[in-house]
Amino acid sequence: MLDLDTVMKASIAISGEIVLSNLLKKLMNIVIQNAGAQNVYLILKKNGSLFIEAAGTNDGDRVVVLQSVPLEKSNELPLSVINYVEITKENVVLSQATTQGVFTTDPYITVHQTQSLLCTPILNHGQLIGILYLENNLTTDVFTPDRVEVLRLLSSQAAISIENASLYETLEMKVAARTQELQDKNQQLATTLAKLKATQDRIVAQEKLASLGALTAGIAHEIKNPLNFVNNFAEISAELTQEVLEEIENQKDNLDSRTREYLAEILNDLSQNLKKINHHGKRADKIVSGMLMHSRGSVGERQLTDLNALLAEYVNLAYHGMRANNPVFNLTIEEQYDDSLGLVNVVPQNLSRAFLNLVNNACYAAHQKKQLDVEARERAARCNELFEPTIWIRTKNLGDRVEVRIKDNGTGISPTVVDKIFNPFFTTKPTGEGTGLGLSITHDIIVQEHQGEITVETEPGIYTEFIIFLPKVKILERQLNEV
Amino acid sequence: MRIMIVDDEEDIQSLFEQKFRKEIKNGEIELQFALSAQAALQFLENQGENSIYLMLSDINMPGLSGLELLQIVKNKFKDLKVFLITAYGDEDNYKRAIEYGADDYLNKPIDFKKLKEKIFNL
Repeated sequence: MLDLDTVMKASIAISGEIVLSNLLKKLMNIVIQNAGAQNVYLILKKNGSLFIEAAGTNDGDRVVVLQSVPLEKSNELPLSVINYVEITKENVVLSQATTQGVFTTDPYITVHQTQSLLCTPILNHGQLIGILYLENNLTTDVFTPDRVEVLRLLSSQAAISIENASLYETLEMKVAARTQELQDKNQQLATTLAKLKATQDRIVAQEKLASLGALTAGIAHEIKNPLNFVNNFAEISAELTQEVLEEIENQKDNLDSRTREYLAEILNDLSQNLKKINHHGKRADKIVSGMLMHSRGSVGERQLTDLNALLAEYVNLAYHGMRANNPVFNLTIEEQYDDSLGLVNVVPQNLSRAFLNLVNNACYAAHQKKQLDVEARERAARCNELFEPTIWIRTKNLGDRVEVRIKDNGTGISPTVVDKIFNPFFTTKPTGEGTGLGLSITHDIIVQEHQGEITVETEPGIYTEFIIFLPKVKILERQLNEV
Repeated sequence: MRIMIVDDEEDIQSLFEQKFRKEIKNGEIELQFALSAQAALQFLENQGENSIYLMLSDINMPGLSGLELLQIVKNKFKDLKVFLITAYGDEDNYKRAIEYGADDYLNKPIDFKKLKEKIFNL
């Protein structure tokens, strides 16, 4: 008796399922409950090949959804029966497979002593999309015409649902892949944008510094000449004052002593004033000379240079320069040079100035901290574990560029001023001690002249490290000829 | 000996006169001033090469520059000595001055002690 109610319910249940694995599970359960089979297999056709997608048994109604096991690799099924159904797209119904029909010699049937067997194609618009295989090894004549008819109806509904679910799954996968692709692209774009922004910021900062540098050099040129006159005339006037004083001395018999003293006093003051004018004029001249180093007019020529040797020479020079100015100055220098650096094509005069500036600053910062440290300890009246001022100089061969690191364990740079350190005239030193041009010129030399990079890492009270990258520039033909 | 100073800054005249006061007083040195390269050349044309012992010229001047003046002088008045004077650390000018045959090269601000030594050792 055809159970139409079951067929209807099953159809509705199947058609409501869009996720393929859920659909297969549902379908298998319905078949197991209604067909009287011991074992049920669902095989689907994908890209022209058959795959076992689900297996179920009536022993506790277990259904397993499989990960597309290729049919050829399985010995769980009578392959001759399956192949027959695949080719003919017709039902195979056997009431006793071991003795009846043409498949009695199938190795599977012989081994498992299969009794009742039903194998039905799942067709959609006449195309085979899968095969449903049912068996019962205990009882003969299980698959009655009624049950076959129920399965036929079910499988035609299943065909549509499987097709939809497959499409949906493909769609889902495509959407997921596309989403992933879009996310990757987005990530890429965000990274590129961040890089672009960083580059832009750097370029803007460089341009700002470059124009400041050019302005600085321009001002210096204009100030230099009048300043020379101030200095020269002050000098001459001081000399003249001396001459007048000598003349008064010569004429002392003609002058009363009060007048003489009065004149001498005024002239001495005048002489002092002129010396002051000259002194401060010279000070201004030093600043102007520093500013002139920004001038690109005096660009030197690149030469193949042993950077390690150049650096070592200027570290030494800076150290002895500091010692000469300040006898209590002392510090440890840790040098680590990469021998594989080779000769680098740079402008040695200018680069050495940059190195000297950085090493001088490092020495100054380390020494400064030592001074503060000593004062603090004297106040605290405890003298163990004295701070040891140290600078580290390192070079490293990075293939197409060179890394130079100059580090000190000195006073560090406060975060509020670290953005300004490369600006011309910015200084943290007391008035008269620094012109605020050292790092500005250094930046010019590294970035503008050598197309390199200079960055700073610092922690107030702990350390400062300048990191320089210099690209290895190819030797010009002209230079080769000179070599 | 007569020294010509070529500079567009008028105050340079008073500066030199005071710096060389003693040498001028005792007749060792006589100063001649020109405010431009053209004026200097005019003077040489009129008075002849031997009227001047040494020429000191600034480089940066409106009209003919000191370097151009140097080239002309070294062409026309081969025996006249020329010192060039310019602002601090100008490598390029220095090279060109030597190339054009300058007898010496001085940086501003002028170190008069050195200048006097150079003049008396010529």
